[in-house]
Amino acid sequence: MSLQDDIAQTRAEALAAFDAAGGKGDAAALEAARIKYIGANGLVKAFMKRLGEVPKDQKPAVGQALNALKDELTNAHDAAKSRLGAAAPKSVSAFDVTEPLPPERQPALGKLHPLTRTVNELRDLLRALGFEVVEGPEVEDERHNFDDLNIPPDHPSRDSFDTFFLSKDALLRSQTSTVQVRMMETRKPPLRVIAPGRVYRPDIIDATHHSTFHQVEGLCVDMGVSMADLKGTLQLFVEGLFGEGTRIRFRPSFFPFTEPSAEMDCSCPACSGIGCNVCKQTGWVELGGCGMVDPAVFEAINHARGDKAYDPEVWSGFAFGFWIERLAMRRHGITDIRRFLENDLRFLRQI
Amino acid sequence: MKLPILWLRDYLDANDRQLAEAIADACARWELNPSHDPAHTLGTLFTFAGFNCDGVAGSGWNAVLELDVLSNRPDCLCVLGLAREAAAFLKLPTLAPAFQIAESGADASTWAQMTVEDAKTCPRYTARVIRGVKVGPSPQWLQDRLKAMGLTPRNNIVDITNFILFELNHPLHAFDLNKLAGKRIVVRRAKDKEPFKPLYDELPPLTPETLVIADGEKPVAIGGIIGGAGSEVSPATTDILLEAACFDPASIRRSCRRLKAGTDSSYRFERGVDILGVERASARAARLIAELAGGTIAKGSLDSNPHPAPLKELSLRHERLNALYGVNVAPQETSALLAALGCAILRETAAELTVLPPTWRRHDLAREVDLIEEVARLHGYNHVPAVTSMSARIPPRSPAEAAIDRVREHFSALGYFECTTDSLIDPKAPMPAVWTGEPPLALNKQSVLREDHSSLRNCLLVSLLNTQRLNQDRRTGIVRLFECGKVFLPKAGQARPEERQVLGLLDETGFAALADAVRRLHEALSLDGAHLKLVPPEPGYTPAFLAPESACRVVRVREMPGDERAEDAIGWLGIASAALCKAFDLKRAPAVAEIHLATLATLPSGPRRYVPLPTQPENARDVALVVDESVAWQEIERFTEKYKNLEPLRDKREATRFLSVFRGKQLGAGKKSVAFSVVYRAADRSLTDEEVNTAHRRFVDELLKTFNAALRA
Ligand SMILES: [Zn+2]
Repeated sequence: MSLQDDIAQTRAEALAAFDAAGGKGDAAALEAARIKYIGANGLVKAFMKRLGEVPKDQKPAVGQALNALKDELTNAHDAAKSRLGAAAPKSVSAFDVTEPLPPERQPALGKLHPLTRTVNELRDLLRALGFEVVEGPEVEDERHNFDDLNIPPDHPSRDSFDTFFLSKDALLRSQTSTVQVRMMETRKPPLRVIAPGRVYRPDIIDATHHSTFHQVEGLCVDMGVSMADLKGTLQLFVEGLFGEGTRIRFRPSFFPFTEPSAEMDCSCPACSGIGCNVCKQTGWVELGGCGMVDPAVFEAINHARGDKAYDPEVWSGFAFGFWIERLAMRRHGITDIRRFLENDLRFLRQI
Repeated sequence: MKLPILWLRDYLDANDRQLAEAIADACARWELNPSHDPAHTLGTLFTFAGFNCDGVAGSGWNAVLELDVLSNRPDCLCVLGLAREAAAFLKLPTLAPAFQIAESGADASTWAQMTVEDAKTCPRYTARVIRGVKVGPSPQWLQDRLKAMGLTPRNNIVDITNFILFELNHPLHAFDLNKLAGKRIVVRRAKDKEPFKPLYDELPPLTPETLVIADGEKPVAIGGIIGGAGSEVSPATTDILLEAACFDPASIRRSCRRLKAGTDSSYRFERGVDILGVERASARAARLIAELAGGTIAKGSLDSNPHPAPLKELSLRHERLNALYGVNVAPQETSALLAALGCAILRETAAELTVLPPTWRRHDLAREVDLIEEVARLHGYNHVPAVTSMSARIPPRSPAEAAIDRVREHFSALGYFECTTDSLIDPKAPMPAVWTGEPPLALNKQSVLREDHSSLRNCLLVSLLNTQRLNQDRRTGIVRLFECGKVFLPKAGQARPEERQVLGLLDETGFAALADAVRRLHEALSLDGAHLKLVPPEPGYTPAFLAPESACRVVRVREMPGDERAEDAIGWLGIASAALCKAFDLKRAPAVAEIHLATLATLPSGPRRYVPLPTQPENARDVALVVDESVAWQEIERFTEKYKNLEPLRDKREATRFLSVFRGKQLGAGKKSVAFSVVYRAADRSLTDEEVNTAHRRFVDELLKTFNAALRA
């Protein structure tokens, strides 16, 4: 075997020996390993003497590698030695199942943010239902945030008290429905998309409100799409999210860009609909809003496109939206919405 | 909106038993579970009709329901409106309030005058005159109804106007006719700082934007919002001018904002009051006044109605209803439901139905789809089957989405925690000029609730440093963070900024770990012919937010056809500068990086090609190369990769393995020694030492030339 191969093998053996001796708290074994590998007459020293075998042009490289090996093994020995004092002297087995790794030897563990994990889960479920993930800008104009969503010019939500404005022509989107509009402007039907993203509304920041939060919006446009398709799609979705047997129900509601509109509830995943604290004994929890795309939205899109691609007599569609924070809070039992954007590591590790 | 069941029953033609049965029937029809108490069950029914029941005070027929009324249904901000809904879903007949009045004596215009100067803000104004009333306490039934709404009864006249507000959703105002200067009403804009004393509270000075109801001299009320002190009905009042009007919702809302005032009246005018119901409301109030306070109602009324509002008929196709609702509804049921809501059925054919909506739904029943929603809602959303027949489809995944997923996996696997920080930041925070030296975009002053959330960030670093600081203060441990987020960079001549998707990183464990994690990003992204390298910036271009000795540009290197390489700076990496650490009060100077993520998402990547695993033994040769500090390991690695394709011993050499790097006096300043191992191997046989040595010598020669290097002695 070449010197290089011997070095590699010896390195592995030596590291294992130091580690084992340190782990068991076996001072004698550690000292024996030290003498064998890095002692005055140890193997590393012996390799130095064999440098003569190496072709001349490689000598410096092998020499450098040997020095590095010596440093590495010395460090490993010192680390093992420092553990000797801490290790319990009696009845420690080689396969200790009761003690964790000491912190400095634990591999670092990172995590995705709980909002990312929630969005990813929704996204994967909806992708299985045929929805493509799309994106849109967070800074919008009035046309995409209001006009084309059938929100009348004098509607209160247009006030600067209810929407963040940067200038007369630029505002922070207050809903991800803006992406629906952008998609329909640029693509022809049929269409099945979801838009996860950040939205902004001027609101007092407290345990249940924030001015920056996240939504996932879904849109489907096709021929002959009905409320049954909407309910059926959401039924499959909640079964995927909370398990088989989860039921969905609609309550009438109002949104300017859908008609008919509904609030969607699903049977409480915590108690399977029997009634508990999570659902305030009702057996149901709120998921978000949904409805059939209002023909006025299609007309606005046609106007912007300059064609009749979204003829409401030919195409129909549905849209739905979820509040990500609300879902994540319910799922993890989080009681303060501010935790999400605060990023206390104890929170990120825990959730 | 409070709904006392006692009051509701004034308009439902049903005794206790009939009502209880109707509630049970409706529950069964909508597949809802009835509660032990009929009031609670009625609340649930309202919820499923679109009026979410928030709570029930009391029980049985004395209970009061708390209902949410959606913004498109101002007609239901009153008991009669909700009674119409209840009658529709309970399938009970309604009892209409009485509107007939007995007028006598001279015409109203004999007793008072009226002028409307601003018909745009006040499209309808009527005034009736009732003379010889006797002001006193209201009868018990009226007091009970107002108390159930949470109101304190005052006197019969005021109580009647309040009663009408809650019965018909029509705010009214009664003036003492004899206290109106010149017995005149002028509807006009206020003069600047014109004096006005409201009935209660204080208001900011008036401006010409505010619509007032004035008498011959001065404002006596703010139109649709609040009455004035001095002209109100008092125990001495004998003659009344009864205002029934309609105001423009947007103007009312603006005035309320400006005056910081809001009343039961303004709440309703903001949402919309039935302009065609003005006469009904006026007549109903006059009738009650004559009945409860005596007096005679003068003939007719003063009336300003320059542009009478039209009422439009509309049609509903049964086929369209069924296609959208997803349930087949029998045509006779459709027409019965619409009739119950007050629609006049004008024509019916096998295919469609034509109706005239009631005046109070003039705005929200204007299109076919509006009728479809009403039928679906009252037929019951619980009847919609949860069944879809949409075709299965597997949509594509965008490269950007896939790239961000991989970046997130990469850094979390390496021990970094993902964070999600607010895009709204404090403009007073020290702003590292990562992408721009300009200040962050500011929100309009009016939109701002908190100064520390009043600008849009232009880099992630500011958010990450704040997060480090928060964790430092809370002693949560070593901080290693990343975030994939948007930063907002102003674009010249454009209202909207560029939204740049960037990756931010912060690592308290030091430069080496972060640099390594970033350099290995190309592996996570499976990049093909592209990688990242870190190079010191050109002299004089070190940014102030990084410590000078540590500052690196993150450079994206793409191999082009031939021997070309395209290099683009796509970010920064280094240790946060001392000034920045001081500004954020950080105890540990973190390694930080910020990288333009979109520039990585667009690179070609894809499934890597499988290379069969070797069957022959390897022959390794080690090299120690003395090179300039500026030569990165990756460049040496790339060179050997490429050399593999030029070399006669093609495919016989494999990846180089990095061993160590050494710096020392004997090498000289600005030099380092990089040791690595090169592996030679043939696919089908063992190589002789001779063959390997020849190939290796040729390779080393090329290496020395390319990097202007020397072998370490
Ligand atoms: Zn529950």
